[in-house]
This record gives sequence, C-alpha cells and structure tokens, in this order.
Amino acid sequence: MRNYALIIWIILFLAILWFLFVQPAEEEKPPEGKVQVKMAIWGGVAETEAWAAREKDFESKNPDIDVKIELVPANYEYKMLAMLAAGTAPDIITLNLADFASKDVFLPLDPFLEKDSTFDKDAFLPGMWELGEWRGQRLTVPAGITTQVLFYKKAHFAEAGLPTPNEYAERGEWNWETFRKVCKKLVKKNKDGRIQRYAYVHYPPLWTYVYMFGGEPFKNDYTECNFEDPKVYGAYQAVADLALVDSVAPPIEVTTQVGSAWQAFLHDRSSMLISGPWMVRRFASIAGTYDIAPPPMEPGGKAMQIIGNRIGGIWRGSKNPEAAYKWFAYQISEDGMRIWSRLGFDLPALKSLAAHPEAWMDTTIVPEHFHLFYDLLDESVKPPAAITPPIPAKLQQQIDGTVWDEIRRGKKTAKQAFEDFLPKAQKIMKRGF
Amino acid sequence: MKKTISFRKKEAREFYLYISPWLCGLVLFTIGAKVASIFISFTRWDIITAPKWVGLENYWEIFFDDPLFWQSLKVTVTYSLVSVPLLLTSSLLVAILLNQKIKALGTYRTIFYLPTVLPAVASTMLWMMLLLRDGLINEFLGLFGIPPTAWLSNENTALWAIIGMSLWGFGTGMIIFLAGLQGIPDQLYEACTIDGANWWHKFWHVTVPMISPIIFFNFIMGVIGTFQVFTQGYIMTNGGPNNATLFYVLYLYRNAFEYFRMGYASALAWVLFFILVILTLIIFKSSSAWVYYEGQRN
Repeated sequence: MRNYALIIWIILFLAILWFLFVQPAEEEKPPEGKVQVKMAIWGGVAETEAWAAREKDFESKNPDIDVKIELVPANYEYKMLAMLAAGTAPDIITLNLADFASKDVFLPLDPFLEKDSTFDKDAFLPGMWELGEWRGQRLTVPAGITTQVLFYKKAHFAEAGLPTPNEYAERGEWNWETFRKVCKKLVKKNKDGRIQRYAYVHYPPLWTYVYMFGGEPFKNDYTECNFEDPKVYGAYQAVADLALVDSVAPPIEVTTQVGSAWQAFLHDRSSMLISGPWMVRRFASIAGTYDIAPPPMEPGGKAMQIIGNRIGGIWRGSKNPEAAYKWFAYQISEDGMRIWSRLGFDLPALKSLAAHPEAWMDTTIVPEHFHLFYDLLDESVKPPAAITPPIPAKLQQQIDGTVWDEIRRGKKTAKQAFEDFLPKAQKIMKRGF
Repeated sequence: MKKTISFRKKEAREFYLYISPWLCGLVLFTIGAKVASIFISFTRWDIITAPKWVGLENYWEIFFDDPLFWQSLKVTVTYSLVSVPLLLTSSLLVAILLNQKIKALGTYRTIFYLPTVLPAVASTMLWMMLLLRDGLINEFLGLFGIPPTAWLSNENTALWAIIGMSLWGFGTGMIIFLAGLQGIPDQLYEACTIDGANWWHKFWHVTVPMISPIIFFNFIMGVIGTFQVFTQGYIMTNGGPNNATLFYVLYLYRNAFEYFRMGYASALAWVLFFILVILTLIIFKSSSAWVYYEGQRN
C-alpha cells in the first residue's frame, strides 16, 4: 500500500516539475494558411464593437491574416508591461509610446512606410506628423485630432449679457484677462451668497494651460525642466487663482461635490470647460446649448494636441511584423478610420474624411464652431508620441500630487513651489523613464 | 537496531516526498522570489530591459535623497502608533462586552464581526461616501453645530479619517480576545470576589494578565498589519492630499508599478522588512516585562 502511495507521489512530483519547467504555454494557432496578428485593446462596449468591425473589414480584405484582438478591461499598461517582460506581448500595443521607446519596445515605422506604396503622407492634414515621432524615430502615425478648445454654455453668456468667447476672439480680445472678467460675471450665487454655479472647472492635465500661456515646460529634447519660466509657473498660478482669488472655480474642499469638469459642465454646475473633441459625443444630450471657442490664450500661446486614435506601435518582438504593419496600415486608412471616428473620441486626420464629417459623425450633435478643432490644428502644440508631455511618471505624479496641491491650497505661490521642486525635478528627468 | 534505522530512513524519505510539492512551491515562489528581490534591490531594473547593477545606490537614495520615503514612513508610523492602540482597546472592550451572559449574544457577535468579512475595497468605498463633505458623518456632526469638512481632501484630516476608519476592522482582534477571555478560569474571579475586589481590580489583576499573551499576539500582528496598509490610501486618497496619506506600501507600489523602478521598490521592501524585524524584536524583548504565561515560573 505504502509502495503504491510512494509511486503516486513520485508521479505527482514529476508532473509538477514537468508543468513548471517543460510544458510550453499553449498557444492558439491561427487557421491553416493564415498569419496571426495580435493586438491588445482597452475600452468599453463601443470601442470593442468598433475594433470588431475593423477586424472583420480588414480580414475580408486580407484573407491571409487572422487578427486576434484581446480586450484588457483594466490596468492595461501593467498587463502590457508583464507581457513585454515575459516576451509574450501582442504584435501591436497601445501605450504612451515615448515612455517605452527608450526601452527599445517598438519597431521604427519608417522602413515599413517607405516600402508601402499605398501610404500617402500628403493624405493627412498637415501639422500632425511630429506627434508620432520620438527622438528621431517614427513610432506611430497620428491619425486622430484632439485639439483642446473651450466649451461654453450659450445661455449662461446670454443671461450675463456677455458677448460669446467667439465674438471676443473675433475682436482679438479673447485672452486670460478677459476670461477672468467673464468668469466673474458668470458665477451664479444663491440668495444666501453660496455659489450655485461656477464659471469654470479645470480639466487635467495642467500642461494645457502652460501651452496656452506660451510656456514650454521642458527643454533640450525633454531631458530638462524649464520650470523657471514665468509662463510655466504663471499658468499654474492663474488656474489656482480662479479659485483662490476670484472664487469663480471650486476650491479643493468642494471639488468632490462639484464633480469632474465635464460632469459639472454637463449638469449645469459650471459654464465653461477646456477639453478635446471626445466631449462632443459625451455632451450629445445637451447639443445646441453649448458651443466651442478657442481657449483663452496669452501672446505666443497655443492649444494642445494629444496623440489620438489609440493606434499604438508595433512590438519589436513581433513574429509577424509585416502582417502587423498591414493591420496597422489598415487602421490609418480611410476605411479603418471611418469606423473608429464614429465613436467620437477624436477626429480623423485624413483630409478626405475631415472634409465630410457627415460620413462619420452625427452632425446633429456637433457644436456650431465644430471646425475649430481643425482650424487650430496647425498652430497647436503636439507633445511627441505621448498623451501628455513625455516625462517620467514619477515627475508627473509629483507635480500633480505635491506641487499643484501646494499651489491650489495657497500654501505656496506657483513660483515658490516650482523653485523648491526644480532640483528634484531635474534629477528625475536626468534619470529618465 | 538496523531495522529501526532503515525504517526511519524510509519514513524520512517518504516524509520529504509527501511534502515535496509544497517544498517546490516554497523554494521557487517564496524563498526564490525573496532571494531574487535581494539581488534586484542592488540593480536598476524597469522589467523590460536587463537589470543594471548599481550597488548600494538605491539604499543611498532611500535614506539620503528621497523625502517621500521619510514622508511615507512618517505617515505609516503615525498610523501605526495611533491605530494599533485604538484597535487593541476597542477590540478588547467589545470582546469583554460580548463575553457577558446576555440575550441574543450570537447575533451581536455576528454583527460586530461582519465588517471584518466584508471585502476591503467595498468597505473603503462605503467609508469614502460617509466621509464626503455632504456625507453622513458631516450630517451627524452638524447636529452638534460642527461645520462640515471634506475629510479626505484636507491634508490635516485625511490621515485621521483613515485611522478612524481602521477601527472598522476590529473584528479579528475581537474574536481572538473573546477566545482568550473564555479561557480564563472562573475560580480566579470567584477568589477575587471573596477577597473583596471590585470590577476594576478583577479586570486589571486577573483579566489583563491572563490575556496578556493574546494582547501580545494582537499587538505584534497589529504593528505588522499597519505597516503594510495599502488599500485605504490607494482607493480613498491615492496618497494625497499633498502626500498626507502616502503609506509606505503605497509608495513602494508606485515605484514598482507606476514608475517601473523595480530595483528601488525591492530596496524599499527590504528596508520595510528590517524595520519590522527590529520592531518585532523590541516588542518580543519587552514582552518579558508585561506578558504572563500561565505555565511559566516567575
């Protein structure tokens, strides 16, 4: 009996060792005669459906390629990191490209684009190209426009007897000073003096305001901070002063009650918001009550773009880079972009699609000055290959968590806070990603 | 004699074979991972590229060049210093109450233990709602004329709000205390009564010494547990405002999975390990002065 037990345990022990060290991971094989391309995505039902539609359309045009899309419902970046470390990453990954470019994660696209006779750079709207490049390497093709503009409630301006921001802009008077004056008139108070509606709730990231003030927060190809620039800390101070000095934006103590900037705007708890085109779909239920205008900029100021379209880059470890590129190329083609653009997260950068928004957008929900997203494109700031300026996460977190916190609580002036933080910031930048 | 040795050898061999699956797991996934993390703590490693040996650089940075390390340690020590005594006291008091002979005792015990079995994330979300500026806690305080506060948005109150919330988890300690209280022989209390002792004398001279090993156990576990607190700081405040709730393990997590500094995070983990070892040793050393073991002389 005991001998039997011993034999069973030896078998079990060997089986464990075999599973641990010998058994290779089971890999789903593509159908006979097809090359498989994997892509990991994130998002909700709408995005999943859009990706499925793209996949179906692409596969019908490329019967030799089997696209396999995996939805990562949460912690996308962590999962990709684990897969990259394990050498099992999908062929195409959507990440903050600049963060990972220095780790040699992505294949430069230039050789593929040069070989691709169907690719036409001129088909894209000018002024987008630099968004997909990082330190001399083309990592992606920016195909989604995300210009940050000012959203405003038309009725609130009329109620306060104010010209609209677009009218101010036409007169050349739309700057931060005017914006502050307008804010003071837009604030609505109860009989007991309590604020019922704020003029403005800011939407992160705050780099938007730095660029609006004409500041350049980083220098020398994003290896050094430029926080001594008055336009950089001045922008932070200006946003903080809306709550601290003018009382037209919610102080930190009530931010939870007011909700996020877009919720406050949607539910009439604020009159203005600066954000991108993804808000148009979000504000479909209040279409017609609001419009968009250029953000209030200081001399030399620019609106900010971020990288859109969630296209990502090709993983350097891809076993089928040629097929992966074909799938990538489809995503930036007219057919691929038309499907994605219907989601309304960003606007297509292809000239042919930009000229006909009715082909991909419900035109009944777009604001009157919708074209501003495109008009401001050429003159907007485009941080390379990243969602915000390509800086280490630690730096971003400390600016948001410590520096900005001190400023908006009035514990330090923006100048002081940035001066104190600068040595540490330079060290983090020097260390890199 | 020879037969006995051969039997023992056989038995030992079988013993090791039986525990071999567990041994494999221990060596590979526990000891192996720990040894690897010692090595990683001397490197700069972002998971994707190969680790680069940097010697003691990470440890140097922790102690001499990272104010956030000291801030996270300060937050964690404050949390531990306040919440451990609070938890010990509250769980002991409730255990004493639940050790009385009253009606529906089982129901009370269940109710008091219930928060402990709730998932930490769910109870944290619940507390977030309670602590809102227009939440129930402020509503209640308003009845006494206390103005509302945004507990979690204010750097002076955020940590205290989380400490207050930690009381919610007294159930585990309470159950252990209750078991200890039920193990105290009635004769000791009867002897005290005959000697004319009041309730305080009984509590201080009988109950406390008799359950001192349990207080000791709960104390050690409490200190270790509070040094590893993470969920509340991560979900409720994300370390803010202004790092007021930046718990040590949250800071470690950020370095590992947000800044991708695995070497630095491993060094932080080892520093925490040594802090806990030192604290545990101090508590153990002090225990001879205040822990009474029934079967022990002196």
